[in-house]
Amino acid sequence: MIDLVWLIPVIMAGAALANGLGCRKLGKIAGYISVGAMITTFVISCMVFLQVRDITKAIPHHGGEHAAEQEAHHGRHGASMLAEYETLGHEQQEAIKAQYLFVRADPKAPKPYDTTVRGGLGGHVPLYEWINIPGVFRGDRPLTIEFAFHVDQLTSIFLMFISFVGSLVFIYATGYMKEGPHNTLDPGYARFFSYLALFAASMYTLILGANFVVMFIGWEGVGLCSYLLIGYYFDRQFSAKLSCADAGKKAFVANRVGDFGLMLGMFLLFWGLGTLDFQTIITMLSGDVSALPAGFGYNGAIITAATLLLFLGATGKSAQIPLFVWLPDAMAGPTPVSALIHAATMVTAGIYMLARLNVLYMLAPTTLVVVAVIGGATAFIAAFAGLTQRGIKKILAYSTVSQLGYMFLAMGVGSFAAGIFHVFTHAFFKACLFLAAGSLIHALHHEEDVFKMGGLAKKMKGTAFAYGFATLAIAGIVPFAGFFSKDEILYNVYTAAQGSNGGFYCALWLLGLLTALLTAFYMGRSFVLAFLGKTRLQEHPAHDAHQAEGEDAHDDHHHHAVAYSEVHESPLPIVGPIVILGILSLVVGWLNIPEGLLPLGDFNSLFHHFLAPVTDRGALLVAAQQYGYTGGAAPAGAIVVGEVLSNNALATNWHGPELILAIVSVAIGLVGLGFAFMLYGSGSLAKSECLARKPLLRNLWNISFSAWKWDDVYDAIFVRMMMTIYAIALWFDQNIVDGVVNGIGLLNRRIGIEFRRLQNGQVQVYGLVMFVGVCVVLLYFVLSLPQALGENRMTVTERTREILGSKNVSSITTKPVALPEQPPTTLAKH
Amino acid sequence: METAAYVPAINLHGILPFISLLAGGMLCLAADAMSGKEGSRRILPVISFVALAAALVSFLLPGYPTGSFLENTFYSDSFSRLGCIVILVSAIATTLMGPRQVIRRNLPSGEYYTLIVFAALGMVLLALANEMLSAFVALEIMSLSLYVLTGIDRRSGKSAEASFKYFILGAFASAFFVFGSGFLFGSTRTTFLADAHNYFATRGGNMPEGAEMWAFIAFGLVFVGLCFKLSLAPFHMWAPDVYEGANTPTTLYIATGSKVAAFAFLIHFAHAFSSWQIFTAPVTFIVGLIAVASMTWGNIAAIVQSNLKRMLAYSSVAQTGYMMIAVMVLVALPSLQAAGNLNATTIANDTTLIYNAISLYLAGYTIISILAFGIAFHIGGEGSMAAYRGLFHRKPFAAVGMAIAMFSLSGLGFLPPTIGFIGKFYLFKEAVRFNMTGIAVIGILTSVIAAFYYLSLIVTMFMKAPDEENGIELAGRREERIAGLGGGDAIVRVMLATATALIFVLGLYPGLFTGLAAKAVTTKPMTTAMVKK
Amino acid sequence: MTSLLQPNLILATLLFTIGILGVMWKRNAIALFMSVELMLNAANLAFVSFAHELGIMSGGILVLFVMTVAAAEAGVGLAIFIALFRARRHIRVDEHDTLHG
Repeated sequence: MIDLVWLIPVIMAGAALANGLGCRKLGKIAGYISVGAMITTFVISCMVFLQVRDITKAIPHHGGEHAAEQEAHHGRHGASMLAEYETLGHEQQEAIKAQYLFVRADPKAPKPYDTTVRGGLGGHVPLYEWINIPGVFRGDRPLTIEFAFHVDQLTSIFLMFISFVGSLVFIYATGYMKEGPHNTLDPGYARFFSYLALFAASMYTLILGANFVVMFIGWEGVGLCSYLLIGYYFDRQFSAKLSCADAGKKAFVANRVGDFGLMLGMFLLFWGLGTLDFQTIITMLSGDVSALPAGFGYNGAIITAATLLLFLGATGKSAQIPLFVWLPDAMAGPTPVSALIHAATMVTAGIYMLARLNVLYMLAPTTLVVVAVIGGATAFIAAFAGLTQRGIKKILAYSTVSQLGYMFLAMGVGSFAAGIFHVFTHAFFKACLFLAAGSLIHALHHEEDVFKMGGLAKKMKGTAFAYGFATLAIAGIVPFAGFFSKDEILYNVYTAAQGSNGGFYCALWLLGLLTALLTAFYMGRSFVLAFLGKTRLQEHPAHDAHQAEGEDAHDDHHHHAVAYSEVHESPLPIVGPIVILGILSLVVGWLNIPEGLLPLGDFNSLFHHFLAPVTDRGALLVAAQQYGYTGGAAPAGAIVVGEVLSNNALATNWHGPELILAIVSVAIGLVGLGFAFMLYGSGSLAKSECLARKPLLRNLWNISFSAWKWDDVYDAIFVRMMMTIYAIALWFDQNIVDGVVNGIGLLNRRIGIEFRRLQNGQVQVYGLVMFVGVCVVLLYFVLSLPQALGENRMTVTERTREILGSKNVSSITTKPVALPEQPPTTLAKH
Repeated sequence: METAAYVPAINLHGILPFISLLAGGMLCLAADAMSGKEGSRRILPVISFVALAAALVSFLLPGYPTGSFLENTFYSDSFSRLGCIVILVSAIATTLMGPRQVIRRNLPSGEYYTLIVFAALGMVLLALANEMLSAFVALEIMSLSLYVLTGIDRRSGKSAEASFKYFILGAFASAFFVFGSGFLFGSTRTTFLADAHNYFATRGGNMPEGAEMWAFIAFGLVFVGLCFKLSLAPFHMWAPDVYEGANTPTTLYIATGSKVAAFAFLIHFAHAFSSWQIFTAPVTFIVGLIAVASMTWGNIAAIVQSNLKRMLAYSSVAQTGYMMIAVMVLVALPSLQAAGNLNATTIANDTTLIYNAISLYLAGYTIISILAFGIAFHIGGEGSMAAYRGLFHRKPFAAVGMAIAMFSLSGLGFLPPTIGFIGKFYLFKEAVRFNMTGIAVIGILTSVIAAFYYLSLIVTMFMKAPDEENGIELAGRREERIAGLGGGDAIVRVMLATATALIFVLGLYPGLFTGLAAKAVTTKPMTTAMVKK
Repeated sequence: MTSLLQPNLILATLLFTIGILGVMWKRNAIALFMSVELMLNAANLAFVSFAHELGIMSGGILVLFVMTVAAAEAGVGLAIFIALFRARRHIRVDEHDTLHG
């Protein structure tokens, strides 16, 4: 199945094409095409996942007794086996590959796609050689880029949750993209599903790409789709300042800034290493670094610069400081888009990239510190901004930024698996939250303000139940999914604090805890405000409220407030996915229960063990290279400073106060939720308004509500600066560039007119021009002949030897003289 | 005393395309004689299509021989084979447009299809020829057919005039070609290019007095004759007039098929001289000069044109100029080798890369031309610009297709990459790789100039309002409507869609193509036998 | 025996040049075409004299082919002139300049 993984993006691209070409003619079928395609890719993803799982399981049993011993000590751990694998001789490696890795049974069989192992664990699926430039200047290294996919544990996890959440969101969207009392399809229905399918195709390309360039296609593709979908309601106003189209542009521009960094990072790596293939780069960096150009060693200048630049790309796509400003405004898009693209999948691309390149990042500890700080700070700042927002999607948007910050924090302390686990759980509960919010918005006819809701739990039981589950998950309440993933991150940060920079990581940890408190509060607040207490909606419909519906229903400004008695649960295509995701928000966390919390034997840390061959590579490499660590199993994540590992006592036995930390974090979550309930539980806003009147709180409220005035600062600095530069550039363009260009154009036109005059239609003039050409060619040849001959004039000896055909002509003088007369006949008549 | 009868070895597969084309042409004649006007209009396209397709298939079959065949008269390597494939594709495109053209101008279908097939025969022979006399005969088979095809519309004075000009100048150029062949024969004592190659290799530094001069003149004259067919400046003067006066399918045929054939033969011809070391420097210069002249003249003159077909004629002058950049690199290879810049192991590889670049460009040029001329044909109006004003509002698909063709021809279409862009990229890359940065820069600058007229056509199609709303009845469309072909026919549409798809597919995946050509171990490497010093 | 190659080639070149000049100067299409034929014949002369000088027969045979092709060319050419004459009622070369620019 791994060979056929290319089917996944192709199917989605086909669906996008079909919908795009079919346009309005398709009607409802557009939705079915996309949903069908998505479910098909889910099935394929499952098969790929199962195959990868089988292979992963198979590996640790191989590798000799030594490995078995380690297994006994540290539990089954892919990473250690991989380290073991690399110490083996070539033949043994080949034997293992042949047996377990992603190699076809019969290597000699003709095969369209060569599936071989590339420098690590994983299936390499080359489709074709895409670009092959053998060095523009002589001696340059060639640029060879395959259009290739790479399948390993990390990829298969991403495939799974993207296709699963994607399928649910697609189904949801078939219900959501209908309007009005008669459930008429949205006018852009096919366009919407075409974009959505194109998005899925791009996202799959992004995670499957085996090199930077293929990943970059996906990266730009999802950016494009995000832009198109944010601006989907391009004729509507999103907020006072922005239209939906503007919001799209904002996202696009912010992402361009990030992509600029990403591209520079790519170029830098190519410049130094001569390849853009992930596995080759990783192999090169894990091998003998002295063979590489300077700056690629541990903490080397180039690798630090490259990883920082790539991280800039990640901050754009994954909405981190300083580029997070686009995400809250991205909520201008339809809610399924927010759920799928701006919460579950696309925004995790940056995290995916860091995990994919974990070897690079581990080799650049300076960058890791930056990543940790940015992650922690973003988590806090966004959570703080989320405290006071009124739009339910805005709250969720800030929450997403904040959770993404957590993920980067995890990456920053080197626990890539924990970060990915949070991506995984977050995909479920955040998609659930968004979809439930969408269900509310749909039921309330585009009302997003939580202050205007309340008491909806009675009316919309399914939605409320799912939203509640997801809230508990994100707040980190045991045993919901968010608890396990967030707790692992905080635990890893705490572990990192045991190293030499303890104070620094300790501060980050405290920040993380504080953020957890804020998260629990604002999520509790949104739940309570929307679903509990007394409703703040009108109790009964005003008369003739129905009259204006229909056409106007599309328009945000003319929507009619729905009365409480009119609210009813959304239809099945909407509620079904929400409820499924709600249940999963509880369950998926159990995939990664740490041993320190609840010893379950083989069942502990399943997720981590599965991912370890990919995500722990860097950590093990650095531990071995820099600290001489030889052990296998690592308390993952805690390795950031390496020395933690080097202390073998810590490495093997230190489980830290896992239980205590877990209790603390649950307690904090409960406090947050409880506080939210206290403040808003009654359904009246009086208490909160009372609090907000106090001067200090008032100021804090302002900071929070304006999201730290981040947009205003950007406006003041960048936008104004840009306007000035723009004015200068405009002047330069209009006066100087245009002058030159028009001048050249005019000149060319003049010459062209002369040519035209020459082309007067008379055949003999044409003949004359030809004749002149002939004369030039012949004259040049005739004139260049003596010179050409002069360079190659032969000596008499050689000439004579040629003529006589004799080898021994030493008797003839060797002095060069003028050529003798040789009529051609002499030669011809031999 | 008995002597065994001399039986020439004939590779049947090698001459299969010739047989198929010859038989197809004959069959067309016979069928035309035997059926009435309507009948031959229906049956002849089928016969000629089958003949052309059979020839195409026999080239595509893996068993097609490589190397010399028919007593060294022809030489097939993967480049000339690719040339033949491209020629036949363009011939098929011409045939597919035939039925509509015949109806539009009430043309004699017997002559029309027969001549297409015979011209294809001439082109294929020329592309494979490795001997001067065969090349001359092939050239004439091709040219005579094309002269008549150009003037086949007897109701049109323009058509007759174009045919007349083409004929006079073509015969003029042929005379140069023959005269040059005479001198080649005189200097190397053979008309076989392979023998000439060997002659230059073994005796190049030691030729009889005067023979060097004759060889130089021979190359110059034959080269000029080929430049005429390739419409390279300043031998291109016929092209705009003929392109304008000829019916559009024939224009396409002249612009692609005859050029590709002449180009393939030029490569064979240049190869014969490549073993002659003293020759490389002058020929490099002359080829470069012609390339620069064509690129600038073609592009600048195209700016001021008001007829689409004339504009495309100048554009094709410039496009051939770009191809000559690659020829220039190719002929310069031996001198680079002699100067010690290259070694023997890389030269084969380098040659292959250059062949890749040319093949890609040639194929790309043909595909784009099929699209551009095909749409011009589909719309009708014989290239008048009025037909294109606001075309997007009347015929969006045609306008978009034409825009793709223009973007691709200009080399601008790099997002997503079109074959036009990739082809130019590879060409310039090869030039830069061999330190011929100057000509690459000129190429890039002239393509910037070219962008002006390509884009202005796009502006005309998309941003101008149509002259008269729905009131335009273009030349040719009325006849089609009467004949029941009002909306045009499906075949031409499919052809255009395929060409559009290929532009993108080959642009995204040039490896499909270069991979094919990379197997070209049989292309003749431009090597030289080192002259003893 | 002195070689006749040199004089023959000079003659051929002269004929060729006369042909070129004729193509550029003659105003009547038929005369113009005759000039082209003259050029071809010059080439034939060159072939024959080389063949004679080198003692290789093939050069002489080539001439036959060239003559055959020239005859075919003449056939096509005259047909084209007739077509042109029908369309425009004259074949004065310099006055056919509808296609220009």
